[in-house]
Amino acid sequence: MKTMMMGLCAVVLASGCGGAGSVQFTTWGEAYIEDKIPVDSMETTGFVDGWELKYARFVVVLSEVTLAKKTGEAGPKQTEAKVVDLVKKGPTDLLSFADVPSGKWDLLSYAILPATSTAASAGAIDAADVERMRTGGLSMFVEGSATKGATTKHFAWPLALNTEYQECTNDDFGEGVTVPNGAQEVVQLTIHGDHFWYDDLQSPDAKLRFDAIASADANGDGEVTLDELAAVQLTALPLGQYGTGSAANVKTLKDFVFSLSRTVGHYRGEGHCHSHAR
Amino acid sequence: MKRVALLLVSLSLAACGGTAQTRRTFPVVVSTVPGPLVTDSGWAVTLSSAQLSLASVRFFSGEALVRRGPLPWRFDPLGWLVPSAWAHPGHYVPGAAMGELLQPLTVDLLAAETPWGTADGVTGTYGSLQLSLGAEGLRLKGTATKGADSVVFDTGSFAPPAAIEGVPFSHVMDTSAGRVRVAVDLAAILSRVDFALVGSGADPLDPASPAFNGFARGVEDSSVYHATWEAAE
Repeated sequence: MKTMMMGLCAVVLASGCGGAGSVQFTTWGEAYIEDKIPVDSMETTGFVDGWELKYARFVVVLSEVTLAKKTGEAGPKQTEAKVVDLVKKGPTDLLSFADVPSGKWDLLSYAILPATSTAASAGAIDAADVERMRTGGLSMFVEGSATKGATTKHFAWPLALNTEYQECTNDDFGEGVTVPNGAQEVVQLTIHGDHFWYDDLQSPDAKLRFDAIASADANGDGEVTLDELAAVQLTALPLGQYGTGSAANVKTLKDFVFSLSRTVGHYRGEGHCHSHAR
Repeated sequence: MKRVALLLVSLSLAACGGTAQTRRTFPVVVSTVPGPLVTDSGWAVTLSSAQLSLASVRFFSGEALVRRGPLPWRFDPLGWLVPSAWAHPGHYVPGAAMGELLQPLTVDLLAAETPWGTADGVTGTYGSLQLSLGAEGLRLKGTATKGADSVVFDTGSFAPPAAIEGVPFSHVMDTSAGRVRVAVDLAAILSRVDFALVGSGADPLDPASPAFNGFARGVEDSSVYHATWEAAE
């Protein structure tokens, strides 16, 4: 009998079907957001056209972190949106799911979406930045400066896009998350700040560029606005740059930057999620 | 080499104990998306010639950057058998090779429909295709009008320097009869062209002009190629 019980326990443990654990979610913007995006003449890690960029703010509204299974079983879901400034040193704690049935939850998703008045702050963030997101219904606010030689361009872009990142996976961890029995798993929702500056929406040869963004400053006041980006047709830019792949109706630099903004969400470092515009 | 890859995909998936994939063939036809040709800047275009030079089409399991269909796991319980693609700049992943047609062809796009040939493939979940144009690429001739202005144009030949990747094609291919239609959306290709910005001339179109830039971007835009499966009646 004892042997049979031990065997049964072993089977239960091995299957991961027994007990429960917790999942702690954090977020981090890595060095590109906390520090800077450097010049990179070697075309591997930074701007290929001589610019260096430093963010002053990279505020995102993270919400709807959800666990589920492909079999149809629903897991816990985040109900309170969190406002985070990723320029502050991280990783930043976001939320925790307690008493989650242990085992594999192969569908993990989250959203970056417009804030409402109930959005709460997470980590070190200025109260005024939280209030800007709430009152403006913003999902992201990115502000910074790019410098090339003696030229500096500033930008401060409010975005109110709603993007869900679905089916997150990571080569090292697999799909979703495996909740341990009686222990905690820490999961990082990683935000890639360099994606705003890619020069192609699909090509494997995409590079980081800022020349076209800087040139959009039509009035030459040093501030590149979203209206100025909207005035630049992609047809005014060199062929071979700012290709749109299969993303239809991306015609201006503003369209392009908005499309890129929907790709910043990643999973546990370099892991990916399907980006779904809502 | 590609044929070997296809065979390997078939054998490896069968060896995993999943759904054994079956080799099959299917015809591919080329046509255009019907509709008026009006650019974003308001030019109405009438074409007198539309020649498209095709080199090959390759089918892959990886999904396009922008999906037109539902998530694989929602309609295909065996969808986990094939790799997937992820929306990420520079990270379109074709996935497994599923089929190919390597027969060069020049198509008159003003014709109703042109048979391209017969593709070799395997059964399974298809997510996208890769279209390679021939050296002559696409060349359009015609007249663009806007109010009292009229511009006779010849784009000249333009072929993208690389294959057009990530054309959406979501289909669970089994052994049932049917064919793939690749429809070229000429209105979308011309949508970016402003015939007021033709540089030194429109016939032939100045390759340094914004108008030509818009034409070339249209040819490279993988969303202008609509691939669909048509089941046999």
